Amino acid sequence: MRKEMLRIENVTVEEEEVTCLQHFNMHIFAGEIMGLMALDSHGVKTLIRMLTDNIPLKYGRVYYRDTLVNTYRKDAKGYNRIYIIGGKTTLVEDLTVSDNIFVLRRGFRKYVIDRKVLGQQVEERMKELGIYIRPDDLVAHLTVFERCVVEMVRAVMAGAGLIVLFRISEILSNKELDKFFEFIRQYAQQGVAFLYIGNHHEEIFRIADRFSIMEDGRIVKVIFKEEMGKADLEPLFETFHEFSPPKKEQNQILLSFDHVRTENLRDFHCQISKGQCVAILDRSNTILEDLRQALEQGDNYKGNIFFCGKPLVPGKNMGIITDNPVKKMLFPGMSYMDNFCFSIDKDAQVFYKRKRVMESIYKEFRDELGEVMKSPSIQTLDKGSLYDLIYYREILLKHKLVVIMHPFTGADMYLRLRISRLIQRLKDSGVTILLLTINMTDVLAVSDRLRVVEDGCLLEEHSNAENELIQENYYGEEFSSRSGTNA
Amino acid sequence: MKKDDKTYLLSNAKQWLWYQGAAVTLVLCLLLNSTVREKLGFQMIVGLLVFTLVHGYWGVKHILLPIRQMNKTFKAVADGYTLEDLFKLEYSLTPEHKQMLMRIRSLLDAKELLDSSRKQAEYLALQNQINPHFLYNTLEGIRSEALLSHNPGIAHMTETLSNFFRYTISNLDTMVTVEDELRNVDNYYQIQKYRFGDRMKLSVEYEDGDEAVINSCRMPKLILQPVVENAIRHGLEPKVENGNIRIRFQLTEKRLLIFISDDGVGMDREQLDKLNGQLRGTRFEVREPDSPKTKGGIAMINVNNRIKLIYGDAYGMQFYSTRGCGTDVEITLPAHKGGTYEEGDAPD
Repeated sequence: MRKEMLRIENVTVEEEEVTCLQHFNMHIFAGEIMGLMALDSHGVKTLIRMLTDNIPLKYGRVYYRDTLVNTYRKDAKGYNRIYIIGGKTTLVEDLTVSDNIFVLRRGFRKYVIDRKVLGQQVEERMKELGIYIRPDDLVAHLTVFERCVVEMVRAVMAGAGLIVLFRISEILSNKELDKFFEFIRQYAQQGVAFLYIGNHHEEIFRIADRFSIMEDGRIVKVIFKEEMGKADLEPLFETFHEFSPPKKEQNQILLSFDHVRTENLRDFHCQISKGQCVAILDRSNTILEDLRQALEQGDNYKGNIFFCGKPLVPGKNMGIITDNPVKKMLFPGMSYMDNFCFSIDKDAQVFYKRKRVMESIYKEFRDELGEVMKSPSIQTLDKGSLYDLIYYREILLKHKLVVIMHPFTGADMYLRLRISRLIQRLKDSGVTILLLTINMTDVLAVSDRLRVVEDGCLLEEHSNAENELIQENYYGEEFSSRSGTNA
Repeated sequence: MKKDDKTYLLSNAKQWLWYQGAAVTLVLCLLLNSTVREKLGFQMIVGLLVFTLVHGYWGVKHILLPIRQMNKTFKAVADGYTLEDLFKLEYSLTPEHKQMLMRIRSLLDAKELLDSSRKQAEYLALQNQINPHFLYNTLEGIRSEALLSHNPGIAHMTETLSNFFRYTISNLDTMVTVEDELRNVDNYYQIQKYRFGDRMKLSVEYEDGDEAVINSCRMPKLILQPVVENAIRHGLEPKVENGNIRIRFQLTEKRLLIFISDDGVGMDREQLDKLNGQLRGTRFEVREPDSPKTKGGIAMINVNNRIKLIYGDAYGMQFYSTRGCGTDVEITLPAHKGGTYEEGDAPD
């Protein structure tokens, strides 16, 4: 007989007159790893806030550890001991690991802190997991993976019965994720329940005991362990099938890294042909930022980088799309066209030419981008339109190379599909594309070549034709064969 | 009934106003007296402030918050989420308000509804001109004839059909074990197999080796078979390929969870929302089988109604489905292992 850790019973939540969760049911047993995949992002954050903060419900009840913690009949008080890992860290960067784990814990009441004892306890916990993190290290000095581990240890030490893992594959590399999965299983065996929220069913299948699919704030499918990999889920997932055949490697090399060394890169040697879309997958999650800095600023590396056969002039003839570009690359106060034409030639920005240039740009892209181009403000636009703006801006600027950092981070299924189409559109316009990522799932569908880097060294190289083989190696034959190339 | 009962909001409000009025009058009278004003002016202001704070807090706790709570329940009832909670209000406006709710409750008594649900089934049976004894005898006759003419297939089919009707038509209001329910589902499945052949498969799964305990759990009669029938009719029948129905049980300390999944054609969002909307509370309009509003899914709504009427709003059914991906039905019942159900078992 199993013990229920969490029970969400027929919950409906409305926020600002929008129904965020509707008829939402879910139960998680002690020691169970429950997967949740949201086809669109609608309601996911509300669900998390409901779990932790007991937000007001329109209808339904929430039970945690068999105690009614929230009901529509009364305004719930207090918080639940449910911890979230993923996205923004909740650790205090200027404090040590042991301080974060013990001192900041709710209910910690000691006035004299024995650092030695705390240190020993941290070491014991880390030893149990088979990892070494110094208790006296400042959190600011930890890697993302180490932070996640510290957060999990802190949650377990604080007596959390349920830990929510929110899209951790976006911040952990494949290698780190494998290791993290081991820790999750270890704690699950001790009775801690997990809600694993992810964007890819293949990834969730690897870890979850049960798996719910959510769309528009409601559960549309529940899959049990033995059905994973067998259930025909294709009608649920929109699939990216429209890619043009992979481009063959040409003789003309556009970008070449010649024995490049940085703090994390070790003798990196790699060539990218003109017109290709190449993905660099960093299994250790260390080099991508170094690569970006080298290409954008050019001041942090040793060795040679050649662009169009000449030594690289940082930032010239290339565009860089950062992760989460909607927040980082757009100006919310400006109109669509002002954002779109922001980086065009300075000459065209002169006031008497500007109107004419903008009219001409509008005519050129109107058919593809639509009437949304006339929007006086981008704040009211949906995320998809904003991604269109960012990617089409690169087409407008006619860059020879576009570097895209973590292209699918934070995107739900529908948005990932749209981004895949945008990358395909960039490819069709003849731009060479370099995708820098830590998660292979989506990039496989759009890239011509995949280069895998581990510990700063080029480990292996695959062509697009080997996609299925790569997926099998990573997800296992059972899960990859049915999944298709889900964007 | 006590006059000072704090569950009556109108008395609370009256009391609050009396104290407020008395305090203000007292302070005004004292302030009119110049001697008092000179000697106790400051203390009186502080006292008035303290009184206002304490009195305000009491007003919020005993008047404002209960009214908000009550209003939330009223809204949920108005939106069709629940009806039962209307009778579980912690507060009433006046004793008469409470009595009125009790009267309404007695009019909508759960037992009457249960009876009416049962009567409805019997009425339907009568409407179809089914006389149970005549039916059983006829089926037994067909079975004997089939055996005599060495046709075991027809004999088996007739026996299964007879068993199915025997279980379905008689004693609708009794509680049965999970095992009984599964036997009836199997009878129904055997009959359907003559129609579908190997196109359809049914499997039953138990989690964590709880099979014996789960089988002995008690549940209302005729819960599983209508859901399986629904899965076949609306999920597997329209499907061209083979189909599977999976019944899965999970038992926790307090609840018995039953998942009935099919890999049929599923349903689209609008249908799903409509159905789940109809299942979210006890509904009375579905008792009228001829109503054009209630055609389609009436069996599911009736099954859900019976669960909610017996166990309360915290239990019932929920559908998950997507077009092309099959349908999952989650049935939640209290876990009463071998014993009888007590009212206190219902949560909240």
